[in-house]
Amino acid sequence: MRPEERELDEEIRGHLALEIQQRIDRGESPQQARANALRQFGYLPQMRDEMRRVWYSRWYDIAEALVQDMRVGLRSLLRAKGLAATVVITLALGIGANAAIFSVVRGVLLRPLVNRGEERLIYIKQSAPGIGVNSTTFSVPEIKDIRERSTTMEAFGEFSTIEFTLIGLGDPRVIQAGVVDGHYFEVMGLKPILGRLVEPSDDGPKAAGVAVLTNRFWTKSLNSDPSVVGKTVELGTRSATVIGVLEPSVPYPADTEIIANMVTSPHHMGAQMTTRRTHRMTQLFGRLKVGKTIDEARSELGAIHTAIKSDHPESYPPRSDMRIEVAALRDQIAAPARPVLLVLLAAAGIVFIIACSNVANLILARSVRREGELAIRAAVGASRAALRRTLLAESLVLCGSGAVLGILLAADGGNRRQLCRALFRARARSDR
Amino acid sequence: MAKTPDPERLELLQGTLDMLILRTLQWGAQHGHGIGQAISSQSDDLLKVETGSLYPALHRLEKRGWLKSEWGISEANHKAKYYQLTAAGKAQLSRERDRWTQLVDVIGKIMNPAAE
Repeated sequence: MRPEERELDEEIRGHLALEIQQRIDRGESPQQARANALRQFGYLPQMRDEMRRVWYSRWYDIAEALVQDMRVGLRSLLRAKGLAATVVITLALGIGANAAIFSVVRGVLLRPLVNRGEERLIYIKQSAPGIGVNSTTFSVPEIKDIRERSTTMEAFGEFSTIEFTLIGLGDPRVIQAGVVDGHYFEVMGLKPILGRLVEPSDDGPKAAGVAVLTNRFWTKSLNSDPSVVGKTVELGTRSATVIGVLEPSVPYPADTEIIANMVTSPHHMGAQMTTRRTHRMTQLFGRLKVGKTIDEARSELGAIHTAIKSDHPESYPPRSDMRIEVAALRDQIAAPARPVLLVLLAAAGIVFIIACSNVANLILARSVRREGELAIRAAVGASRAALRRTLLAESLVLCGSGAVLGILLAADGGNRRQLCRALFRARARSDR
Repeated sequence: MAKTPDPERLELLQGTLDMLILRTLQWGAQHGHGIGQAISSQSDDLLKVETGSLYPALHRLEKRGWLKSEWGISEANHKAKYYQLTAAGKAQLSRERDRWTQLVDVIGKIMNPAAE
């Protein structure tokens, strides 16, 4: 509250105190005195309004003059409808394009992820440039080695995708599911919005099958039905209990409908998966220990990887030139979209410059045609400043309506979110 | 082209209240409540000053430098803002008084020519 408003409150309280006191002295009961004093005082908001007019009289005058000028401007523009419409539409397209692109840039590149402590969240990638494979992912024995030797990481989380036939939620069908270990959600820093997520107690061959629904699946296909938690569904040959719903988050590394624990997938329990070093199908995420930097993690994991390679030369043929890379998860997610988005942003910027110069040309042409009118106005007494103000007000009307229309064009939020999602999905696919 | 605010109608109303406030404060500092009561009691309760116009007027006069204010404790044992005439306010009061006398004279002449 501004100081003058606070002072006014104090002054009003003082006034009421006096009035009430007098009324009590005249013999009214305290409650009655209070009610009468308030009634006599009148309508407070109106008085406040009045006071503001006194305090900020200069601003009120300026605003009034501006409104008046804009009204005149609007009237003169109505006499040039074609020009006005062209200018407004040109500006609207320019502004709309920029606003739409920028909101995607903001969503993908600028806004932080929902993941808790995302600055410590890293993505670990194994690649084989020698045979042209961008991401080989990891095998279970590899992850076990890395987990045992790393000291810079607080925890590692594993994620792999697999197809299940899902029976029990909607129509029976084949779905893409994520299969994770019990540390995955803790490493990713994600929370449930309902129930709980997969925890370390869900690991191991004797655990019960559990599944978490992704937010999109839950809202889109299940109409956000909360009673779904606790239901048992069939995933292929095994069954799992739905234990919770994940908060909305970037669908990385894969856009799946459910995320289940290891025991739901017979394949993940099998000998091939657990013992074969070259059976690589798991994406690996890590959470840095507090105080460790990503560079420390990079050099440590590099050293571990070199050691693993020399321990098991048969699984790392020199021809494939296997390497390990470490990136902040946010960079990993946003990096491929960055050049595309920056190009789009630049294109939108150039479109806007063109739109502006077109508008400037149109307005200039109109001004030249209006010289006579302006001369008459000056002759009947309009000052230079007054003429300038009308012209400015006219431009304000034009660009104001252009901006409103542009923002309406850009405000189609659903499409934008779909665009963000499409970018992420393209990313997830290119990794697989 | 901004419309200049219509001077005659508002001036008369506002100017009168402003003059009455200045006149009331001639006797010394007073708070808003006291000013309002002084005006109505001196007019035998024929003039009622609405708080909704009294306080804006006080603040307007203060902003023009004709009044200054100070916080004090009122008879009701509560904080209250006391207004006081400044030198410029006194000058303004005598100007307004002259103008008012003139106005009353002129209007009286027109309305009651027989009295001359």
